[in-house]
Amino acid sequence: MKQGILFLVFILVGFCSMAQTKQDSIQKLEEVVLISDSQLKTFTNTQSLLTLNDSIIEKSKSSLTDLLNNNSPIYFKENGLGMVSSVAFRGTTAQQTSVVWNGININSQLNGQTDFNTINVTVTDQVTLRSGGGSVLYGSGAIGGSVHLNNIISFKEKLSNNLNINYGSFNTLNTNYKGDFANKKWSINAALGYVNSDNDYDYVDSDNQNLNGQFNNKNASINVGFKFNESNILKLYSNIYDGSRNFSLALPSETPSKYDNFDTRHLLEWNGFYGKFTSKIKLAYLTEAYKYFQNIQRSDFSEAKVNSSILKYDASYSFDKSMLLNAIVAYTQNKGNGTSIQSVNRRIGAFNLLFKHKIVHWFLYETTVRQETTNSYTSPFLYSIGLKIKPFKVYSININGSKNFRIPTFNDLYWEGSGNLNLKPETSKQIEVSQQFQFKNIGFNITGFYNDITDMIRWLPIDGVWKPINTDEVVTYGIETKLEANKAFNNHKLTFNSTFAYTISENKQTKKQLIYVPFYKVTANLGYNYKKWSAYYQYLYVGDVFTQSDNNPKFNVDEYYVSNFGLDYSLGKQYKLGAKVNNLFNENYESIAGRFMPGRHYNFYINFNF
Amino acid sequence: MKQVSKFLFLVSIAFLSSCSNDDDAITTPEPLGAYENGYFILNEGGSNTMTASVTYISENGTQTDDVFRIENPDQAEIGTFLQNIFFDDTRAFIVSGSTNSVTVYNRYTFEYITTITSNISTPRYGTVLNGKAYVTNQDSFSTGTDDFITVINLEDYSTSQIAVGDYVERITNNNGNIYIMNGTFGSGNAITVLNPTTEVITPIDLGAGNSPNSMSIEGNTLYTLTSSQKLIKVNLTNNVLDTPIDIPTVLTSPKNLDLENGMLYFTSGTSVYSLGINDTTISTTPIATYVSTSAFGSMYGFNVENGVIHISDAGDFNSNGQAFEYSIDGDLLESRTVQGNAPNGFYFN
Repeated sequence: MKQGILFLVFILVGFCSMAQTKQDSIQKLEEVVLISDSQLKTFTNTQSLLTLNDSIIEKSKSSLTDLLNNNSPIYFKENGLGMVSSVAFRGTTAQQTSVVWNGININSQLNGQTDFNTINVTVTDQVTLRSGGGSVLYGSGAIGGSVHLNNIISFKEKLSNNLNINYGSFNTLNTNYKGDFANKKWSINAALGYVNSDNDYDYVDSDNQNLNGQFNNKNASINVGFKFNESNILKLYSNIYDGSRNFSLALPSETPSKYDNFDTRHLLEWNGFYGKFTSKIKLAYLTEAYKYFQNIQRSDFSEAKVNSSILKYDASYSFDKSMLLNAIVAYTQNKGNGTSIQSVNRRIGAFNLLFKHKIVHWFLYETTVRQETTNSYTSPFLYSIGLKIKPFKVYSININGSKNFRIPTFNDLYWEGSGNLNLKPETSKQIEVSQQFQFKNIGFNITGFYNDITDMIRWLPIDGVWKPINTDEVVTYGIETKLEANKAFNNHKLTFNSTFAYTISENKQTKKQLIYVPFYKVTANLGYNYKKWSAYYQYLYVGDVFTQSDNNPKFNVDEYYVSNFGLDYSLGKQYKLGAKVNNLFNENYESIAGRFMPGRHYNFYINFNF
Repeated sequence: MKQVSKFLFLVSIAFLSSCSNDDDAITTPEPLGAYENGYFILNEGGSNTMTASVTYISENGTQTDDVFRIENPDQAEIGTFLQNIFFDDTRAFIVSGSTNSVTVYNRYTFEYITTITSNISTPRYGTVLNGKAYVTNQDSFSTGTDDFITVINLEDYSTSQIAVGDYVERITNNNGNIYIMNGTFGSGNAITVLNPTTEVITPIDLGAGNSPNSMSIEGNTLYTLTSSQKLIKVNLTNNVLDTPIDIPTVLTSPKNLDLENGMLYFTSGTSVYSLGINDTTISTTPIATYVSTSAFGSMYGFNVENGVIHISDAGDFNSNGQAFEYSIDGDLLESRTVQGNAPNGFYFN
């Protein structure tokens, strides 16, 4: 009997370990196949990640701002609903957060930032937040952190079509279609999104209305994968965005203006898996173009466009399961011109070397370096080093230090009459320590960070002309926490997610907090699911922000609490009906002084699967 | 002696009282309002509208911030990028660049009267002549061809436009004519004369490259400073230019020309320079210099009035501004912090 049990145990263990190996290799292939941004998996072991999947995206469809504002510690300031939206991630500037589409940095070459209201999340499969420095992997701007928009290409048999129609207050229509087809050879997914809104909401406790706030955008995306054989896969990612927004007026007699932007992104890549050696060739072509009508009653406008071509070769070699070496060589060319920018051609070469070593199962380190060379400014040597120690199954600690940068933008360098060719990149040295606790139903993460940023580029009026110069030194530090919990019993399922951020962002010279960086931000989401019903409650708190560099509290933007409540019902597998009340308690709030946000408003949606 | 003075005192009392009986004008007039004397500092404002404001400094130096909000708590915001205040006998007119408006207040009580928005697009400066206000408008910043003047009838606040077709900026009046400075950030190089009766405009060419940045009129002479380091005098009887006076090159970017008591004052960097109206050379020795914590927003507003030099400093354009009073000899008399961004002008009641 004893022998028998021992034998059984032996078999089981053996089977498990086999399964483990198999699963490992599957997982490995999945990792590299599923998303183009493979370093998000392979070289992000010592920094914290927050992944927002379909189910979360579904609850905040209206914009990337709405999604991240309600689910992450990133602070957003919006010039009114749907208007220009910029971020402060860990107390940094909007140019110090990079947005990465399928592994490619898509921050505007013109102003160095991404307007989070010009990204349609419905054509994205997965949004991941990577906190902290990442310039070695993702280039300019990854100082506060990076936001990753990924499309998934999978060769798992699939055929699905999904149509979602969402209609709500202020005559807002947000509709999207997603089609997925995959077999062992092909993976094709296509998505279309259309948003249109009058956006003419009444201000809370006021007779005034949001004027000239209407906007619309169309977004098409197609992602195709073709598997020649187990070793060779060809992938194509494409995204086209066409947006038109009027800029709302803070006061009625302001000059109404309008902003149109048209962005395209294409990425073609060939992945080769040859045993321990993996090879990826990537060719990307991105265009960005805007037209700004300073007065919509006039036909004249200012414009600018940049076309970027990127050629990247990414080779990695895994010595054994514990060591991975990855080298990337990239060449980028940005060609731009515009009303106030003469025709420029900027070329950047970059060389990256990444190494990861898992010495024992509970200890891992990774280190990365990057050197760029360019024809338009001096580029610093960038690096990162990270440790992960996991002494217990439920507990791990990460330490990561890095040097990162934000390069001068086209506007900074080439703006007619103002551009400053002597600018240096902004650089940051940063360190973070993060602890994770992971139990069965509850996970908790607490991260402390410290970030020392020098040569901040600021535009200042010098002899009557606004010019960018490297001037400020800023130190940001603080704490971020993340809590995830879920509990299921009988047919009930409860989920709870929450983030908290405490941020100091101080000008070293003046010892003052930077403007528009709140000390506190809290988000919380409670979800409840019972059979065909599900309900959720979103809560957002943003503390007071200074709008003045001398921190004069007289001109602060006040703290605000915003709650949303949603309910939906599944009708069989094919239909889902839902409704959401936004700003449930009709809070009168603004995130930028004088730019009021809407009070209580509603939207209703219907979702078809066929 | 005591008796004598007592007598004189009584006599004078009698004399005064009898006078006052005879002539009402001599009675102590009813105060016109809390802001009757003293001066205003206009705080241009930043992107936060609340930082655009008016600060009042009374005759005895008491400071009151946020004048138009205090006096009109229920009034809607008037906008930001407040460029200019101009007056008629009873009213103060505030020009707001962001809201394309001119807001009218009682100049002594700062009680709100009305807001004018028709026929206004990117307004800059204004002046009042014979019951009408004339306001310069740049419309689109990128070109001067669309620039125009708004004429506001001050009886009913109706408006009309006069096209100028060249960059318009500062505006003033003299001897029944309106004078418009055609120069902004180095573009435009003329002074335009507007005849208010016929609405005919006559440009006076200052010569290529001579873009005016400030001007003052005394008698029949218009004085203007140009970005090309020249002080140009224009004879307004025949619109002919005098030989320009060169400003020494060490006095970089001269601006803020102001004429007071037969003396011309201007600024370069953080210093004030002066010359007599008939002088032909300019001394490089400043009459006053102030210390600015900001290299970029210094001398943002400047005025010389009653022997006092008024200087304002915009700091970093994103914090409270500062205002200073200096004597003509360069002694600091007063320095103050105003609750508002970028103080850009001083206006005397």
